[in-house]
Parts: sequence; C-alpha cells; structure tokens
Amino acid sequence: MSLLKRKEMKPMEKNGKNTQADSGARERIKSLVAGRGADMTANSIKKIEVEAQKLASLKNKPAAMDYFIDVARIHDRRVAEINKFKAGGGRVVGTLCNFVPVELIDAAGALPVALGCGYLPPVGLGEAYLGDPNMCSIVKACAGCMMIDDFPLFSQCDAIIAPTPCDAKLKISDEFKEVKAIVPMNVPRIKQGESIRRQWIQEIITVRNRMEMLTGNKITRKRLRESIEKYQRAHKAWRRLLDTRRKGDVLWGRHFLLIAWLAYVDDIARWTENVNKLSDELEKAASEKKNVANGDAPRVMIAGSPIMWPNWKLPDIVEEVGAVIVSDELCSGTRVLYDPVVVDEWTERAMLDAIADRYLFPSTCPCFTPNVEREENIINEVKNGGVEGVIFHAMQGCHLHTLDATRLTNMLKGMGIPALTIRSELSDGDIGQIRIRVEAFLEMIQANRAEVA
Amino acid sequence: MKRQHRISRPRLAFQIAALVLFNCMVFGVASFGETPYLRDIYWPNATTKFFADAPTYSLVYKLQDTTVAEFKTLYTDIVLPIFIFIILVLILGRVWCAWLCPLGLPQDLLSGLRKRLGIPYYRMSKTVGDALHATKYLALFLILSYTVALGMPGTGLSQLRTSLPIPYEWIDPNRALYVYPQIWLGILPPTTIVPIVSIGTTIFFLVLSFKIRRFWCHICPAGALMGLVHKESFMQLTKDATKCTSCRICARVCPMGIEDMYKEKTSRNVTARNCTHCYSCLESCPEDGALSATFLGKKILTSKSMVDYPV
Repeated sequence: MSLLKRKEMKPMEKNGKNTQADSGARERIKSLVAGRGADMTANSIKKIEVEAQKLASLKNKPAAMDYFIDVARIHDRRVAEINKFKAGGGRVVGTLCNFVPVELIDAAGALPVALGCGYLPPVGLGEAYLGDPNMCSIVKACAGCMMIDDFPLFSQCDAIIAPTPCDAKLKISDEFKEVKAIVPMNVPRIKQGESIRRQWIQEIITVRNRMEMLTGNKITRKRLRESIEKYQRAHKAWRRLLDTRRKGDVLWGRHFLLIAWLAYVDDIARWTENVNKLSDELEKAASEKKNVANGDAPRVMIAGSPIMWPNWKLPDIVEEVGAVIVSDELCSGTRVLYDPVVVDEWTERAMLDAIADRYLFPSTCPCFTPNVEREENIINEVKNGGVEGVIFHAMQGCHLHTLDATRLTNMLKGMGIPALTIRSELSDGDIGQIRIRVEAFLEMIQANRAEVA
Repeated sequence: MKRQHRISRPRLAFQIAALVLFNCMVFGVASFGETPYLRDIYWPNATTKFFADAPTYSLVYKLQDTTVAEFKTLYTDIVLPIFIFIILVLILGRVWCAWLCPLGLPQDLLSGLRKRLGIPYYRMSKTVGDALHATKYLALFLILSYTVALGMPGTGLSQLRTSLPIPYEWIDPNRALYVYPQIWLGILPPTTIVPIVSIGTTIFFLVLSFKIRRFWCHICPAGALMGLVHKESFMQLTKDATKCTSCRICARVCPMGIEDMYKEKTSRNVTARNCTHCYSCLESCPEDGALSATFLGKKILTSKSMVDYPV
C-alpha cells in the first residue's frame, strides 16, 4: 500500500531549468538549427499536404474519411485547438511511445499528444545532434523536431513522457533533459514474474505522481474512472472498425493507418465518434460488397517498424502496385488501441493495476523476450484475416524490428506463408527499388494462388 | 444485461436460491425421509452441519462422524457417501463452490460491499497463496487422521470420543453464521450449541473475507477434498491459446489468484485445482472465444469480444 502514497517530489521544472551542470545543449541546438527551423517546418507541412491530398483523392474513399484527413493536417486545425487548450491553462503532455498510460494524463486534466512522426526534413538535424548515423530515422526525426522552436505538436508540449523500450528512445530522454521536461519510463525487457509486474506498477504510479504535479490536479478515483471509460469507448469503436474491416476490403490500408496514427493525436472522444461513423458507413459498404480494390487484389499484411505520418511510402507503394493492406501488426496501426483496460472493481489500486497490466503484458513490442505474443498475434491475423502474404517493414537502424523481421519471416516461410522484409528509411530515394521488390512479391502470391487453384 | 454482470448476476441468483433451498431443507432427509441411499446424498462442498442428515452436511463431516463411530456400517457410512461425492464432483466440478455454496454468498456480498466503499482488496503474494492452499490439504489430513484415531478401538482414545471436540465443527465458520439465523427462524431448537471457537472463526472469516477475495475458499478443507477429483470433472474451463493476447486480465480478476489460464500457451484445458468455476475470467476476457466453459466438451459459456463492452 505504501506504493500508492503520493511521495514528496521536487516540482517539475518547466522546460528543464536544471540545477546540474549545463553541457551547453541549448547552444549546440541553436548552432545546429542555424535558423533553418522555419524552412524545415514549412517543408514538413508541405509533405503533410501532399500526402493528405493523395489520401483524399483515393478512389472509393468513404465520406467519413474526410474528417480524419482534415485532422491529419495537424498544423492547421489541431494545433489551433491545442493552443486554445493551452491558453485556457491546460497542460499538454507529449508521448513518445504506446507504453505511456494516456488514461493517467487525461485524468490529470492534461492533453496527451503522440509525438511519433515520420517527417523527413528534421532527420539530418537529429542525426547531427545525437551523432549516430546508424540510429532509427523515426527517433532522429523526433529529435530534430524537438530542436526546432516552432514545430507543430512538439513545441506545444509542457512535458514529454519517454518510455525506454529501445536504445534510441532511452537516449532521447538523456540528450534532451536540459531543454525539455522529460519523464522517462523504465520498460522491462522480460515481462515474466511478480517482481517485474511490481516494478512496472511503480513506474505507472510515478507517472501518475508526475502528472499530478504538472497539472496541480489530484487524480481522484472518479476522474480516473471517467478517463478509463472514455478510452474504453475508444477501444470499443476501434475493435468495431477492425471487425468491419474483416467483413470485406472496404477500407484502404493507408486510410486505416492514418486513423490509427490519429488516435493519440486527436481528441479521443471526437475520434471515437468519427470512427463509429466510419464503421457505420463501412458496414453498409460491406453488406453491399463494395470493395475498394479489385476483387483479385492480393491481401497483404504489414508488420514491423511503425509507419508514422506523413511517411506513407511503404503503404503507398504496396497499394499502388495493386495489393490491398487488410491487416497489420504495427504499433502505429492496429495495436494502438487494441488492448483495453478492463477493471474488475473501481478502487484506486485495482484501476492502477489494470492500467499497468494493459500497457505491459499484451504488448507485442520486439523489445521483449520471449515474444510469443507477437508470433501468435501475427499467425492469428494471417489465419483469421485472410492474409496472403506478410511484408515486414524494417526501418534502417531499428535493430529490434530488423532482428524480429528475420526471425518471423523464417517462421512464416516455414509455415508456407509468403513473407518479405523491406529495409527502408524515411527518404524517398529507394522508392523504385522497393516497388520492384513488392511487385515481385505480389506476383509470387498470385502464382501461389494459381498453384492452389 | 450489462456485459460485466453477464455471469456474476445469474450466479448471485443461484447462490441465493441455493441458500434458501438448503435452509428450508427441500433436499435430503426433509424431502426424502429415511429412504436408504437417498438419505446419503450430501452436497459435496457445503461445510455446514446445521443438524445431522441435513443436505448441507458435507462429506468431511460425514467422514469424521463415521470414523468416530467405529466403522459400524462401512458401506452406507463410508463407501456410498464417497461414491456419491465423486459422482457429484465429476458431474459439476467445483461449480458447487462458486454457485451453490452457502459460504460463497457471504464472501461475495462482503466483496461487493468493499467494492462499493472503494476499499482495495489485499493481494496475497503467490507464496502466501500457495502456503494457504497447502494448509487446507494439511488441515483435511489432520481432521481425518484425528477422527480416525478417535474411532479406532486400538488407539485407546475411543473412550474419550464423547468428551473430545470434533475438529471440523470447531473451525467451521458456518456454525455461528447460519445456526443463529436458523434458531431465529425456528428451524433449529433454541438449545442448539455453537462452539465458542466457531464464533471466533466466523468473525475471523468475516473480517478476512472483507479484505481478501474469497478468503475461505483458499483454506476450505471441503474444497481441498473436491480439488482431488475436480480436474477430471465434466465441467472444464478451456482456453483457445491462438486467440489469447496474454493481456493478463483473467489472472488479475481471479479471486483465487490463479494464473494457469493466463500462463498456458498450448493446451486447451486450464482448469486449476483451486478454480471455483466462478467464471470471473471468462466474463472479463476481451477476446472472442479465448476462454470458454465446457460441459463434456460442449461449450456452454464463452468470452465475448471487446465490441460488446458496455461503456
């Protein structure tokens, strides 16, 4: 029970006015950015506009999709909303990973915003600051965005919660501790045993205490319950969309991935409402057998490194060459809201336990070993979702996903399921090469089909 | 009906109905009279001895009384009750515990009260839980060997058997819990004696059951006896490992602290020795068909997807 007590803690310094020795991070960032920040922001926004335009012009687009494409232009409507929220005294908390218990942020009255992103322009900046060219581009992009003064979403954050599933994310919290208020979260690498569970609950309670300090609101039982129920509604809507998607190929994978990415960026209640609207529309389409692609389009599943907006390169290629993404095993896709917080009794301890369990145990992140959950999840999706082939997206420098891609590709091939690993970066240089490989893969799937028939 | 109460509400109704039926003596001697064989049908789990030959007169009582009474009628007093016990447990498993036991209901009501007051339950560590589960088998063994020693002519204790206490009557919380209401209702004569130790264990039981979910079930000797046969019963909890996401909800909501259904990755039968078939796990499981209750291999209850969640 001592765990539950709110321990005395030093108040969190806003934007990290740290008492420790200053290693000159601010000056370094300033000299590296060298006034190019506004250009990079403008280029990133341009990329968002281009991708949004592309998504808006897809054929057989459901009408309810317009809302999501509109919100995906974050620099426009969403940033204005967040600024309004901040002007009213609200605090914004950035999250760097799906391990962050958003229910606690919401219950404290703060606004959770996912910072995972795929902007290309700031990648070089992040790389120069962190100094490791072999690191994953998504983290480099995040680092770059944090360095720029006025980047949408990033500059609005009052605090950032950074779980540490991989080395890159672990070091982000160290490198930026002098410029941002960062709360690191220790993610255990093995999720077995009672001590691990206790340690993780303690980590969740620390986040709760930090959130209370940040906002000055106490997370009462009532507030926590309301937040949990709010997110349960989102989970429910999400599961409904997944079920609808199984009834027929009524939604482009690209649209689906966008909705998933927006789950932690948009206002969750409004998002839930719109997902339900979309499900209504898609259910109708499914009953009328209106598919988005041709009837014989190969049904593909994407797994591996997260695909972050606006880096829609791989899904674009896959669906442009004639396949349809029917399923995915991405932490930026289906996994965002798949596992619900189920509470058996509404006591404070039981709710915190439920939140802790939901974020750790069902997670299929490759940072865990053994990772049976991931294997089972992929096999299950392949069997139940009518998947004909699996494409692993291995982001250059993302060691965990690359290693898992090798292991899982071998596992799937052993089971007779075609699998392909695509190693890629955020840049557009390899589009042609990837397209050729994906085309060959799809031809193989179609050849397999002919053989079976 | 709300999904969270899909199973617990009917279960509560069953428990109340069972309590009324047991206390009104619808079954057993009251309805069957002294007919041989039928007289010997005792519910396997109810730990109560309201008075002799009551239907809630559990097998543990029967065994200890018989052994104290010098094995006069071996067949009707030992073999037949054990046979009937095995049959009843084979048919329903420990469904008796969660759905019909008169001690289950007060425990569930106390937990419900605690939930309403917002007081968290005490989570036993696995070591303590295992120790308690071992204790109940030890208790069962001691009760039976003590009564056998009393009943055996050779031990020299048989002369004392009228003056020495019968152990199970002493530790049974049912005594004080139900004998007083029954005296008040006029079912039992006002002269019925309740051992003072039993009043103590009843208070102990009520306090601990408030803070620990299903505390008595962890140490119940009748449950221990059922646990010996229970794994082979017709009622089973099965798991479809391919549908499981290992979210650990089932292990967390289990009042008996069982983790088998969470940890199991392959086999389909996950009924644990201590499982009381309350199906809290099945009720909370967010995956369609991951957990199901089967009777002779036929699914009678299955877990439902998150889509039906009432929020």
